[in-house]
Amino acid sequence: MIDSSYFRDIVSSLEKALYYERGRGAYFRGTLVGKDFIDRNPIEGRTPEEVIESCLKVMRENEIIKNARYEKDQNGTLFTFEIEGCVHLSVEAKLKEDGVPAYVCPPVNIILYKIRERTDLAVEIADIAVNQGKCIVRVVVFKQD
Amino acid sequence: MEDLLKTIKTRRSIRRYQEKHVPDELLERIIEAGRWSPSGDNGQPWRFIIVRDPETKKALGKIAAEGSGRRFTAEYFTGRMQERFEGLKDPQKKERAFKKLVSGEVSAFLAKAPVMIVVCAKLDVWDVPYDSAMATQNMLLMAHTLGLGSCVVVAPVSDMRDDMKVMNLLKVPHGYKVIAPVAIGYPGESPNPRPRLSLEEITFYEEFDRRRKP
Repeated sequence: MIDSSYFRDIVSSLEKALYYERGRGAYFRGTLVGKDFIDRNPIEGRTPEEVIESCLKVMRENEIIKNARYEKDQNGTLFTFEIEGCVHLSVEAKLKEDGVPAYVCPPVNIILYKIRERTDLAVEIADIAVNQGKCIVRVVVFKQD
Repeated sequence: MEDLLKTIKTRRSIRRYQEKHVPDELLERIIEAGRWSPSGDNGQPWRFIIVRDPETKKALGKIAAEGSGRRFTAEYFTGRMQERFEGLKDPQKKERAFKKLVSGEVSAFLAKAPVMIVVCAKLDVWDVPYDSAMATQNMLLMAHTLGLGSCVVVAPVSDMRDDMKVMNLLKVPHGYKVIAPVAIGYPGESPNPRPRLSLEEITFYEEFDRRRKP
């Protein structure tokens, strides 16, 4: 079996190249990364919370993440996710070493894509912070007129 | 030479237009200016779609508003927008600015432009973003010279989620991409110039950040 560091290097190199091409706007080119995987899996739920739980279950079962928690602000718009043991974490750590900020989070992309699809609410990642083996990702989920 | 600099310096991004027809001949002059832009390997990746159909403009305006609205709502709820507007002291003006951004209204005007030229590009060319950007700037300057206002609106195509909708809407085939719609019309506003960094701040000598002339 090929060492996973090979894939880490390949993915981080591609992300770095895109970042140097588009700068901060690279984020917008990566918002559908993860879509193909989740489209192959059954997701349930009619509310953001139900969709989140359904997506997290699939990702845990497929060993994409070990654990994840989230909380909402009082407006119910800003969600803060804390993701641990993510298979992509080594990519983010490598990018950080290279001075490239994390701008793609496949697990959260997956969740947001499915929230949009199943609830028609608007969704967006606000920021991603990588710290001590986990990622903190803030997102907005809201009704758009 | 001064005339060219004056043209460059007096161009503005116009988001409000008069309800006055823009003749095809003028649009062709604008595209002609784009056609003569520099192009790596003379690849000429640019293609232009003139859009006048109200339904198509409405759909593009909606996609643009959604894209901007998502991005600025994220900025607002994390407090970054408030930081960005810290210098604006008038609370009412600030509130209006926030509303315009969060609602996506800042880009929705695209639907009301009398006409737009959507700049597209062929991907099997070496220097797609550079060539396309230079063509777009030539077009903006030509529009301004012809007494027309214009505005590049990237909001409907920045994000992959929106980009795909625009590609479908305009039937852009694989192998091409949409660079951005350019809204065009007779100006219905005359905005002040936006602040610019000084020459001193942006000019270096021989290497980055060296500010003294050798």
